[in-house]
Amino acid sequence: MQELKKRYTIVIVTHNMQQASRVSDFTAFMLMNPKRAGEVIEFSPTDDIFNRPKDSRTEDYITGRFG
Amino acid sequence: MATTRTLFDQELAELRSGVVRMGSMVEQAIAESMRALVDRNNALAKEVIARDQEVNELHRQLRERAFMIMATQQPVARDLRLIVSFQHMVLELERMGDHAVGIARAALRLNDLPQLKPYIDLPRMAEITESQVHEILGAVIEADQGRARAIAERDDDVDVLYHKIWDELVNFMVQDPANVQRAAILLFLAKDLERIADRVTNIAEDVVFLHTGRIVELS
Repeated sequence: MQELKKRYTIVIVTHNMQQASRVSDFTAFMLMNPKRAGEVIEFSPTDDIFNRPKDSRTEDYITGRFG
Repeated sequence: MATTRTLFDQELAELRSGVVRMGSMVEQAIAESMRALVDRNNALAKEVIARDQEVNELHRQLRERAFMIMATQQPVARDLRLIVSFQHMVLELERMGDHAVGIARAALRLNDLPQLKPYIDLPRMAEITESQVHEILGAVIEADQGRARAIAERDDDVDVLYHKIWDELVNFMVQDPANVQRAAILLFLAKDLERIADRVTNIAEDVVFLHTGRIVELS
């Protein structure tokens, strides 16, 4: 994947937080809400999402408080 | 929102209360080491030195606990920052305990000699330092970075007193070689207090990191 990403943009949809934090440059966190699926809650460089998320729902999800 | 990590949250809470407990022990050690000097109380100085073992043991336990939480819970974001900050804070507190022992040892040596001068600025310096230690623990509990920054700023007051004490003691040494031993011991004692205040600033930086995820330099 590290080789491929030099030439291609790769989008991975995963529930595996470790995989997401290990391989990606950017992370989008999405949730379902009553009206629609796939609402983007937060999109940031992976370092920010996993260390300094802005939205409390992102923080609660990646720290295992729900989901 | 209901949490699915009750055990983890409980472990973090226990770690936090351990840090605060350690902080209280160190705060008491600093206050008593200074009292041992001012009251010329050797028994109290010896108590401070002996009790440092308890601080060291608690430090060891908290480091072990933090390591276990990291290994078993794989914390990220605020949880990771909390544990990393706590690990650093307990190291700073342990060193503060060592400085209190330094003060107690200095008191033991000075108490056997005639008093060089009335202790005025040293107790003032200690008073600021002790209140900084007390208040930074409050900022840790509340994760209040504004309060932490304000506490760190008071390091300047401690530094001013430290330099004043330094000048005064050097003058004593210049005036009479018979003063050198006592003045030198007092200089080391003042340095211990000054270092405690520096370590409060380091903890304040941890509180800011805890809140923002950014490593800052407050000194």
